[in-house]
Amino acid sequence: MSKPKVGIFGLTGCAGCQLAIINCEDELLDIVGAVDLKSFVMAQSNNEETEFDVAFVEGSVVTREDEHYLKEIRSKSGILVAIGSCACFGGIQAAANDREREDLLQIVYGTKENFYEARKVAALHEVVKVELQIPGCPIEKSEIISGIASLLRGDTPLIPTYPVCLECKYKENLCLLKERGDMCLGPVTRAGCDARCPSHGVACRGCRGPVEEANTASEYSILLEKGYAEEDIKRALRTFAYATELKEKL
Amino acid sequence: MATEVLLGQGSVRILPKKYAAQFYKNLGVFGELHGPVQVKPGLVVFGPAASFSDLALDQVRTLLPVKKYLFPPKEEQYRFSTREGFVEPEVEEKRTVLFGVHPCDINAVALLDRVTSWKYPDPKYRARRQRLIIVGVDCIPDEYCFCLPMGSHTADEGFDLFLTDIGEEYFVQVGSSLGERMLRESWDLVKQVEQEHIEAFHQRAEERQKAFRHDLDAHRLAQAILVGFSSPVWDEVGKKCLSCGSCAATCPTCCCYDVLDEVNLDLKSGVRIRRWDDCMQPEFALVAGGHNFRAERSTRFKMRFMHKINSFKAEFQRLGCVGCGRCIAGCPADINVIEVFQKITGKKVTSVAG
Repeated sequence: MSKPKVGIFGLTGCAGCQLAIINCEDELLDIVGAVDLKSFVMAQSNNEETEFDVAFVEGSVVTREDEHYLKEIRSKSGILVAIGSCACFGGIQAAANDREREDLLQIVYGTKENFYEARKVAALHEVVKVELQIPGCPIEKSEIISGIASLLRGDTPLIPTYPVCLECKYKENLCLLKERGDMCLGPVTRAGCDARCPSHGVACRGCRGPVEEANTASEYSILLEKGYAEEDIKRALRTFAYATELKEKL
Repeated sequence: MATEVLLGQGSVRILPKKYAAQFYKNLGVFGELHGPVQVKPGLVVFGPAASFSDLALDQVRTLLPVKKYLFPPKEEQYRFSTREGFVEPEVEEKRTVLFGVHPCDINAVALLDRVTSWKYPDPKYRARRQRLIIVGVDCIPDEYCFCLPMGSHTADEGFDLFLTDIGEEYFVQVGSSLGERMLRESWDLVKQVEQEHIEAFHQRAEERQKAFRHDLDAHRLAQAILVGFSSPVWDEVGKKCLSCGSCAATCPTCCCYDVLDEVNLDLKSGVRIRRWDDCMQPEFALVAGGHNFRAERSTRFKMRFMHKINSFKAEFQRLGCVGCGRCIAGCPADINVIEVFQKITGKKVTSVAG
């Protein structure tokens, strides 16, 4: 069997997810050994404009250029995998999605003129068909490696469907939401990070996006009861996933 | 000669508290010493405790129960490769003496022992169980405790030694032949039981019983859950529930798990793991084809208690809830099971917020 042709691409984002792949130092040779890496602009030269069996795309659609580029990648790829919370849910750049572009341009650039053809921020699946999502800010090294292995095997990657709270409990952390009254988004955020932040005493900010069936309404009223202002709660919940999942709820 | 005295299971002795530290140290002969340790304010966990003074015996509950010693949150079942076939991880030979286990937790272990040796024996659990020595210590309940109505406030089995606080002394009960050997190791520290100690033991039991605050009727629960199958109580709770699984993770009797294969990039080797799973997760009752038997949180919550109460009672002749209060103490949404039980049995709610 010939190795699957793979491309790794970035739209608007911090490029941290692509970096996370490069950071798989011990496994990098295994990865490039298992696949035929045709395009990975961040990591190699001589990239090929060709068809791909699997395309991994980071970042979200923020400009018209992003939109065209994504559609082009889509047209050349068998399986399109959204990697990182920007690609999956819009990411931080979507946090202001409820405001007009013109107003934002005025605030940021001092003019309403849209040089970059900025558009309302979208997650990949809002623009093209996406087969799989690997969330995270950035993606977890272990999830990208096991994700590639699953795809090679013809399986879907195992991404946790339970919230951060479970991993936090397994590690026997003090509950920051309940015991300290912190604005912790662990109950509505997808696990897979091994509760990294709460394990260091820092409340979860929801960087892995909403867990399946996130009970945002209950989280919202819990935080309200703890005395947080409505705007602050909304802002926190919107940080990573406002383009998609939480749009309707907030 | 001390060794000539036949002790046996069910024997009793008195340990003056001034010798407790030495008694504890002597237990180290039998395994690594563990017990409830205060990590920070509001957080007590079972963990290594070299000396008696490290123990937080006045604390009511640990975050995770004893099951973490018997059935870790995530464990390797075996490694597999096309070259070597299946390779099971080496079994740790280390023994652990877990000191300060409360009656609710002892009853929970006794129940897990039955579950894991029932229709489908669990060799990994059994191997770990044989290396876990349990020394129980009694306790005074707090506002989340409801072991008394659940019938788990005393322990008749599942411990090697059990210590009851009777003031200046501990009343020591032997629960196994190993417990007998452990007591013999400290024979010079313990003394015979006199009538006054028996009286003090029962006085302590009375005091303890009076400290329980909640009116619950566990005998009616199974029936009440069926009668109240369409009760609004479940929807009420379902709205608040975050499906975070904290209740199941910290429950001393919850033992559902999921089995997953993590295959390496070479596609020729990997590891089969099992990890705790729980019925509060949306995927728990999701089957091939995409149908979910319990898509609603309220139905998952109801199912959790039907299993704990009705199913455990039918299968093991005892309730699957020991009233330890961990699910209340740990619920971020302040769902209180005492309140749910009281509502479902038509009683006045006496519980406090979680």
